[in-house]
Amino acid sequence: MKKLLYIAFGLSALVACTKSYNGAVVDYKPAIYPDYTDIVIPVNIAPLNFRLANGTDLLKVDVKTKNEVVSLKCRNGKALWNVRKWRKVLADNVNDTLFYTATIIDSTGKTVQCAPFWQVVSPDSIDSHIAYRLINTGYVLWDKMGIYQRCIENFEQKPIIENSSVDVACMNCHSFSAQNPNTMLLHIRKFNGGTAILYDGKLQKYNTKTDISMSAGVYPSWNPNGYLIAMSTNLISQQFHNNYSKRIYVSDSKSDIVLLNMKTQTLTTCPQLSTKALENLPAWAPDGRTLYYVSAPQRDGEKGFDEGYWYSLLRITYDEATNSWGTADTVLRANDLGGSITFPKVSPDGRYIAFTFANRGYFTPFNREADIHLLDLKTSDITTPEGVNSLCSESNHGWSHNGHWLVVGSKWPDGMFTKPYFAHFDGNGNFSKRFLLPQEDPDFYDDYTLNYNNTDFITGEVPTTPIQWRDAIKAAPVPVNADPSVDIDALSGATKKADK
Amino acid sequence: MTRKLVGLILVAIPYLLLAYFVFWVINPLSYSFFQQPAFVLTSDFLWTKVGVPGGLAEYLQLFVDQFTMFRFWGTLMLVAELLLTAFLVSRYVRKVVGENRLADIIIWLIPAAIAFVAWTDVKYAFAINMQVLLLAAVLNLQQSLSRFDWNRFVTPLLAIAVYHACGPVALYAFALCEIVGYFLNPDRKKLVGVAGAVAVAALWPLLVYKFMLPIKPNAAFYDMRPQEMMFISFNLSAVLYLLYLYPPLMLLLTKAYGRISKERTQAIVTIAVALVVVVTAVAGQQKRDKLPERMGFRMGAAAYRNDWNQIINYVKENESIRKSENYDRFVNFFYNMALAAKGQLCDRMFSYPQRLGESGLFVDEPMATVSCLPMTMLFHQAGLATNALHYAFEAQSTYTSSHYVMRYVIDELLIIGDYESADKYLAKYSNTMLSKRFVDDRKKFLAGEKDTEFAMSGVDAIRSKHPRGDFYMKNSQYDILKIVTNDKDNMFATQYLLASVLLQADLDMFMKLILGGYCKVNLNALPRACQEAVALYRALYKEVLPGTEKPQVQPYLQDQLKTFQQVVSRNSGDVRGIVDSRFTDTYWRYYFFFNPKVTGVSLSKK
Repeated sequence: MKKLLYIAFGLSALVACTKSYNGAVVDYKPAIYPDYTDIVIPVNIAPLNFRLANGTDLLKVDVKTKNEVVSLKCRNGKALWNVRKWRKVLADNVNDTLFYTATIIDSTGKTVQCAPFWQVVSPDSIDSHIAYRLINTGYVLWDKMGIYQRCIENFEQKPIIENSSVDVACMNCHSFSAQNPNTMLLHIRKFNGGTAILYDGKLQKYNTKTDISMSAGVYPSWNPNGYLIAMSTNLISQQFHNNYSKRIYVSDSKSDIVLLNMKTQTLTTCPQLSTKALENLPAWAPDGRTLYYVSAPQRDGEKGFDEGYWYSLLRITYDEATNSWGTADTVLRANDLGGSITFPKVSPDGRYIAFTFANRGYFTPFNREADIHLLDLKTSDITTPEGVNSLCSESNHGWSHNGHWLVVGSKWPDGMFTKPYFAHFDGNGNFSKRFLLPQEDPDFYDDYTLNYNNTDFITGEVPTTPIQWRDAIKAAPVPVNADPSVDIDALSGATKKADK
Repeated sequence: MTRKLVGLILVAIPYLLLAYFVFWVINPLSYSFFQQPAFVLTSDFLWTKVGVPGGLAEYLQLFVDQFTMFRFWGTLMLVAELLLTAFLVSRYVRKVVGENRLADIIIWLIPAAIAFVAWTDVKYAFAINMQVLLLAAVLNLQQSLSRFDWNRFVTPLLAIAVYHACGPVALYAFALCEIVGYFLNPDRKKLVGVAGAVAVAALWPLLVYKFMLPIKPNAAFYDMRPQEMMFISFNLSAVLYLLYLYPPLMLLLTKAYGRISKERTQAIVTIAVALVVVVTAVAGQQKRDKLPERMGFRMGAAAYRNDWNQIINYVKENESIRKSENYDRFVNFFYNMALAAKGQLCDRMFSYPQRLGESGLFVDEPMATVSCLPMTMLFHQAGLATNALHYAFEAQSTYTSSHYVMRYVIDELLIIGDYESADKYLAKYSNTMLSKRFVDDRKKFLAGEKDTEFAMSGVDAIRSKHPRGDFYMKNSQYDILKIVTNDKDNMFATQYLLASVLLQADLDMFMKLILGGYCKVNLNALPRACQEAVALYRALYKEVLPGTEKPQVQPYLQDQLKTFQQVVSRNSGDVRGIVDSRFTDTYWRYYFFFNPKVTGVSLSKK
């Protein structure tokens, strides 16, 4: 009798599990969060779990693939992929499309079957990891922060270094050479200051402030050769608006660009990069000879609101063999575009530059209007890729090593917290609609109040432990040498010492 | 009366005294206002805590700390924690030394002592008590296992557990207990366990630091502060280390006590120890004013509840808080704020010694997380929500989930109208204990309900105070000026503006403010400090601004100023002493003798 009861209970449970929802078919697609509708996804991305965006109930999701229909587990209104199944589906459907049909309870309480949305599985794989800083929303003070790496093929996040181990130092501007996790740097400020550099298998902290630089290195860019690092040197300040939509404005009173050669541990620069204008945000082209950067006119007196204070895009060549620089050449004039050009990032094929365009200054995460633009160096065409941008600030972007993916730091939709979004690039100037960094739980971002700061792709895991970073950062910094052939004033202006 | 009843009373009385002490003297509210990190009900929170030495103790203490938002419940939880510690230590001592009357009074001595430490160091004492509590629990467990032969091999593992649950200092205390226990009851079988515990104490922190956890050397070797507190650079009181010595000291003390053969002597010692505890408690109550810092926290908690009378009464009732050696910037700050909220700042500000001048009015320089919450409260009251939010965010960088900070972050976002971000912080805040009522209320507000506590708190009025136009916030005085320029009826901000100029001893600017129409003042009925400033201006300057004659000064104040001038110009005897005693509350005294420009008192020197 007991056995029969068990069987009856089992059968009824089975019936309940396989309950079919026969709702009316509607012609609209479901509003889901994160928005993973109608996007191109890499073959190696982590499962894109989602829920309905407006709080209504998700009953069932069927995914039609090339060979089968997969029913997703819907638990508590969330559509969750089985990780193995997801990987198999992606592997089996490269260059093909997944069609998602969701059955939901709509806002009137009716069960409806929505129009399908799609995801195209691109054969272009995405770099397996991203690195970023996680930080609270705070502008002057900081406390807990760290540089983290996340495998985007799954959901695993690991700290590269957290500041609790190094006296709560401020740390940022982590940077890699051509997305190579074996070649990395990050700056440490306030306590244990210096620049920790992972180079040639060795992790060491350096003091990059010299007689020919106004500050230690700030915004870096590694040459693809893996041993030259261009860095800006800046005198930075920030101001707070009473107007909440503007909130905060970060600006420099002075800035230059220097170059650190890790082979010789020598810092060099040239008068063209140390003018009274504000040179900033260097970015190497993949040829390793051309350095792009932004520059704005010298500031005079009170900064005001800096409306109309714009940065232009310039470039200069560098010949390492002779340690000689070419002539600075303006690529995009800010006045021609009517705004400020900042954070230039050259695509790995060297043809495109993705940059942020805003109405003032260079530090644009707080500029609501800031958008990513794309410059085609071959045709000089500039486009504003729709799928990459939103009504909130877009900034701090980076290319994957194959040039087919762009990661963008966007404050969408809340306007407050920066989160990484990915968009596919077809190599011909076209981006697909972007999608948010996937998390195992679709509710993850609901109460997540840390900012993903300066997200960058890396092709694998950084081969160091937080203990190694801690020990390197706690050690005394190794001074770098100033290039004796450089004879300029550290505080801009390229004034020769002899002229003083 | 039965012997059992007498025993019960003897135990109950000290605990009632203890509860009284915690409720009135320590005051859980002041404890909570030290921006206690909240206890968060997520697994992430648990893992981040238990991942570091001492993390479990911190996690449990954060649970207890939540209740300090409420005076009664906070008292109950803190006293319960102290009781449990005492019970576990006393049980351990009995197990090692055997039944002993002194072991009974440990149950008095320990919580009382910890309460006193908490009284002198409100920030860390209970957190460290939780470490001692867990240490005592492990010691009890170890004693329970002592009848098994394999216990000696378990002891080193327990030592490791103590290190990770309670921190490095607790590990050293554990090893010390093992050594003391061995010498009190020598047993060769136990030697392996003792040696193991000592070896763990000597080597484990080094191994953890070098190879296991990326933590700071102090966290690995000697720090006993909770992880959340590591970010706050307050000095640690050395007396806190003594708390860890309780278990081993009690072992030695009870053993020695047990050797006193005469019962009468034992009774005398027992009563003496009890008396010491009671007398110290009473003496402690009398000396509570010695701790103005805690007073500052208590006033902060009152300010959060808009209980301005309580703040004013604190200062009124505690004369000693005016003494220079007891000066506390936050007491000064909250007192000024309470006066402004009551509309009395420019009348009564000099009833408290404004030793730091303008720095007692604004505590944003130098900016530190501990001063950001008070500044949030100030700008919330003044009506500049963007600045209040800015300070709340800065405070939040350290006090990630503090109830006070989170509530201000959410409310300022709601006032500003950033509902999307407010909703996210509400979701985050709902992960903490004791947030339900607040979260439900704000969610109802977001849903458009009109009868919420928040909607009825005057949110529209606060919004209307926000300065229009576009400007950079520069410093607090400038920002306050902007608020006043926008809304001349904002009396709170107007008082701050006038007070800040008075405290700068800038009479010229003060006169320009009141005569130039920059703020709304009734020239026929100026607050007392303002009248004193006007009288002084007229007396000091022959070439005066146009309209200087307009503000009315009460005749008695003019007479008083004449007397003041005579006293000062006589320049004989103890002029300063006379001024201090006869003109204590006057602006003139401040202007000539007391303002920081004259005294050279700066923030670092207090």
